[in-house]
Amino acid sequence: MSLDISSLIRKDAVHRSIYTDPEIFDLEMEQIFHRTWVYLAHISEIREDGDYKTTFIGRHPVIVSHVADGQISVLINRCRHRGATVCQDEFGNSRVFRCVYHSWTYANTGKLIGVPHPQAYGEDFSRSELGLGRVPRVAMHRGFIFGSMAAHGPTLDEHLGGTKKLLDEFCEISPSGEIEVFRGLQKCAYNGNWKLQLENGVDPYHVEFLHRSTFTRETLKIYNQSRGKVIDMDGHGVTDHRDIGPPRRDGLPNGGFNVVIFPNLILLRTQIRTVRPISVNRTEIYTNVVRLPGVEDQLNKFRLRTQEFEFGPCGVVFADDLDVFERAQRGLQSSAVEWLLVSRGLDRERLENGYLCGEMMDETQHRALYRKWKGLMMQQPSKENAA
Amino acid sequence: MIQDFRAIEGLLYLEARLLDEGRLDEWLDLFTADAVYWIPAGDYNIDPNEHVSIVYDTRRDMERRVARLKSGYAFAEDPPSRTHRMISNVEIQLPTADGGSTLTALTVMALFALTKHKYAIHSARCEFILRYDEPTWKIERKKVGLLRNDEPLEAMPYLI
Repeated sequence: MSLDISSLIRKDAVHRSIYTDPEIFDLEMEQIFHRTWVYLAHISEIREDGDYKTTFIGRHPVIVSHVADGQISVLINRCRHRGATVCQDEFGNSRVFRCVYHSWTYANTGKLIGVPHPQAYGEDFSRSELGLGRVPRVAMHRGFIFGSMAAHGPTLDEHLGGTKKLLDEFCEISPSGEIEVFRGLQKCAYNGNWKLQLENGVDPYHVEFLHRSTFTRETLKIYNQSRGKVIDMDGHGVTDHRDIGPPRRDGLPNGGFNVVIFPNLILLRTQIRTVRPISVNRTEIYTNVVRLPGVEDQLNKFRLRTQEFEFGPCGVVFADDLDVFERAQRGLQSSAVEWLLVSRGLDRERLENGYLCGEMMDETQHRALYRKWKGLMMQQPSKENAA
Repeated sequence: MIQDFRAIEGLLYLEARLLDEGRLDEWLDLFTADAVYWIPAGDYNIDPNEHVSIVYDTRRDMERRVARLKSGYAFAEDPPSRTHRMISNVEIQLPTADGGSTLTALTVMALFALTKHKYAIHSARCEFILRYDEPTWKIERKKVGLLRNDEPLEAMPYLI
């Protein structure tokens, strides 16, 4: 390997090339997105038998199907014959997927069930081996569905580590203990690297400055107080304001936590935010609004309206985030300065419950993400064979 | 009849021009106190209480948006985008003889926006519900059906 990954992440700084080098992006796809657990869908998006959602695991287009009774299949959206995608819609309900090109037809379990004029194939033609490609491991926690392109490796539980309890807590503010999402998504894009959004998902330091046009002094107090903390939670990033209170049913920010579950899931307030890297300098963000079944309509409507006002491409908060990601990407084109600082609070970190913690405006949670990034990027390349 | 049509068409053009010229307080004055400013996400016909929208503002939200844009701290609009809006295909449904006080106006908008040297084109089918509020018509609801409302969109920090 020509890239010396270990030299790009220092204790106190990261190298600009991790945001700008297309070769590093390619390696991220292979070593991170095509290996570790990637968040795909919430079960409430595919509630009924036959419901599906199409999305991506890195560069793989996938179909996430609710086959029956909670059984989820995640298939590669690519006909085994000539490669066309077999499912075009983002959401729908179907038990079969048919390629329009030559009409090869698959069940939503992936099984090949129809090949027109099959007599042209020889005796060794095996339908059973020509099902849609299958994502080898799929697992769900509290309705959050993840997939891993690696047949072997850490379990989802091991991957989530302490953040599993945060997923629980995120759901437990609902009276039934279950959350669901409103229909539809906020979809945003920016010309910048995907990791800029990850860092920003757990960055109390920026809020009072970048978002001063929106947040009141009262709201900002939570970020400026000393009792909250930032956490390296098994390589995921957490900002914890629970000293003020648990996650709030009204979705306002005073209380609860933000968590970035590496590499593509961000939970905060009313949001399930999914980060989709397109190229080294292009990223898409798809965000659900969470509804709490069993609470009064007015409260759910308040959650929806507040998130619409603040987030999405016209959001009074998020438009400024999207803008600053592009400013960063432009600045990082300069090789005159090679390093970005992630050193805040480095000298005052402490262990709490086994996790490295810092104070509210420190960067322990960012260092967590880069610790995880480095570990995955430096693992042995996979020897697993594709179909 | 013709005069009514001209007055309403003039309001639709004025609304576009006030946004183009950044005259946001005057823009707010075109709306009723109970106005809604709506940009659906995903599709033109959604239930905004069941489905996420790009924008679903009450009059109060619109005022907050304008105040933010004028605050000097709306960094995505620093410097402000420059925009041209073309309003076309105007269809006006006048109130019925039995004295209905609102009417619907349909338009197609082409929005050309230059934001920090990035050029974007958006098109939308818009629906205005207008109410006669002596001595003028005011906008009770503005619905903007963006063609790209199901696509990942780069920041649109200006009013649409």
